[in-house]
Order: sequence, then structure tokens, then C-alpha cells
Amino acid sequence: MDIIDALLGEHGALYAALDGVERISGAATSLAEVRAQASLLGAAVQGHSQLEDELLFTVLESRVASAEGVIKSMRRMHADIDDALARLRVLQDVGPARDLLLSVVAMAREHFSAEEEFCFPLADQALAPDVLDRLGAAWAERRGVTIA
Amino acid sequence: MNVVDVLLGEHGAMYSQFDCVERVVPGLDGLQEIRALGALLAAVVQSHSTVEDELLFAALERPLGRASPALVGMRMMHEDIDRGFAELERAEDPGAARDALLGVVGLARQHFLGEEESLFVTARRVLDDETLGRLGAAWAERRGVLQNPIEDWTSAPHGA
Repeated sequence: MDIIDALLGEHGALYAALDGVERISGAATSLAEVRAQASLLGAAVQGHSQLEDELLFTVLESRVASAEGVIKSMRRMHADIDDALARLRVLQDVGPARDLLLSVVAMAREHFSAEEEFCFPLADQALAPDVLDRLGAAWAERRGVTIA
Repeated sequence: MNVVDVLLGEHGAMYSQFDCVERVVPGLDGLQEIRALGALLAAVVQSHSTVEDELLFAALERPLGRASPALVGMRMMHEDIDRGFAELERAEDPGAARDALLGVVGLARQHFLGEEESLFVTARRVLDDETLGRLGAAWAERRGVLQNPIEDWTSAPHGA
């Protein structure tokens, strides 16, 4: 299984989570509700970023010198999302917390789109099929997904 | 893009959300925050079920038959999961809400494992590569995932 397809699949489920936040966060009337939704979205997005970084980006930057700029840009976007989630955790009012959660959603959408447009095609072209499959197997093991 | 591979990818992303729910929910005391967390998880899991049902299960009806025990069983599990989320919405105290949400996570884990060990294997066997690819393209369109690589990635926004 090619790691690019696995990561695109993750994007599909994450887009559904982003849609969900946009649809239901407006009904949240307390800080606790917004924080609960932020904790779930944060776990999903940050878990995805970490896997992507440790599996795909590390291999890509070690094998393709010209990928450095793209990888740097993607990591900066990961850091920006991390920073926004950290700021959200210490906010004390529901309105600003909801606004920041929706900003995280927008940042994540922009980031996923950039990966789909630049980073994943780069990896697809620059890494051999057996490398992509080996990374896919590592992804499945890390995620606990059974490839029968 | 093979539809089975991207659906496995969706499973991967959801497993991390299940882990989060199992870690966070036992410490939540408010009914509304448990429901808020559950509503977001429901948005993801039920969206996955719908896409899977309308694309992969529908395509499997021809080779397996609409009354195939494998398809009927998987669709019943989707309904069980929906009932679990409905139970969460009806819960009137935090304890019942916690139990309902953790119960639905347990059901979903069991369902995903069943798909990975059985139905997805069957799908790879009975559907040809062209069909799996066509379904993958339909999945990408439904999910809003870009699937056409750029011709020249050196024009990417380095350091942007």
C-alpha cells in the first residue's frame, strides 16, 4: 500500500472533521464544549502531521535535495497549527475560543490542499514505488491498520 | 488511487480520534461537553460510513449480491453505530453519555477491523483494478481531495 494513498485517505476523514467543526461549533455555548471539540480535532490533525513528518518528510528530504523548500514550508504550516491549538487551550472565553478553532480549521484546509498540490506529487515522482510501499507498511503499523 | 487504500487511510485517521476519545472522555464531567465531542466524532464516522456504503458496498452488490451476508453484516454494523450516536444524543446524565460514546467507539473499532480483515480483502479480489481506481476517483471528488499531480513540482512555493 502506497503511503500517499494512505495519507490522502487520512485527508478525506480529516476534511469530514473540519466540515463537522464548521457545522456544529456554532451551537457550542460553553468554553468546555469548544475545548472538547478542539481536543478531538487537535488529536486528529496533530497525529496526522506527526506521522507525515516522521515517515514521509524525513525520507523525502534525505533523498531529494530539491524538496527542502517544500518540506520546510509544510513543517512551518504544521507549527502554525500547533501554535494556534496551544493558544486555544489557554483561552478563557467561549467566543474567542470558537473563533480560533475555526481559524485552525481554515489553516488545516489550506495546509492539506498545499500537500495535495505540491508535496504528495513531489513524493510520488521522486520516490520509487517500493519505497512508497515500505512507508505505507510503516504507516499501517503505526496506525494499527490491518493490511490483510 | 485505489478506493480500498484511501478507505484504509480514513480508518487510520479515525483510530487516532478513537484513542483521543478513550483518553479524554473518562475525565469529562459535563453532559454538554461529552455530547459536543460525540457530535464531532459522529460527523466523521457517519460520513465515512456513507461514502463507503454508497461507493464500495454499492459496487460490491453486483459480484456478491445485495443480500450477501458480508454486505448485510457491514451495513448492520453501520446502523448499530448510528444507534450508538443516537443513544448519546438522548443521554440525560454524564455517566450515560460517557458509556454511550465509549460504546460507540468500541463498536466502530470492531467494525473497522472486520472490514480490514474481510470485506476489503474481498473487494480487492472481486473488483478489478479499473473499478477500484474509478471508485477511488469518485471518493476523491466526494471528499474534495485533489488527485492530479502537478506536472512540474519544482514550481512549488519553496519557503512560502
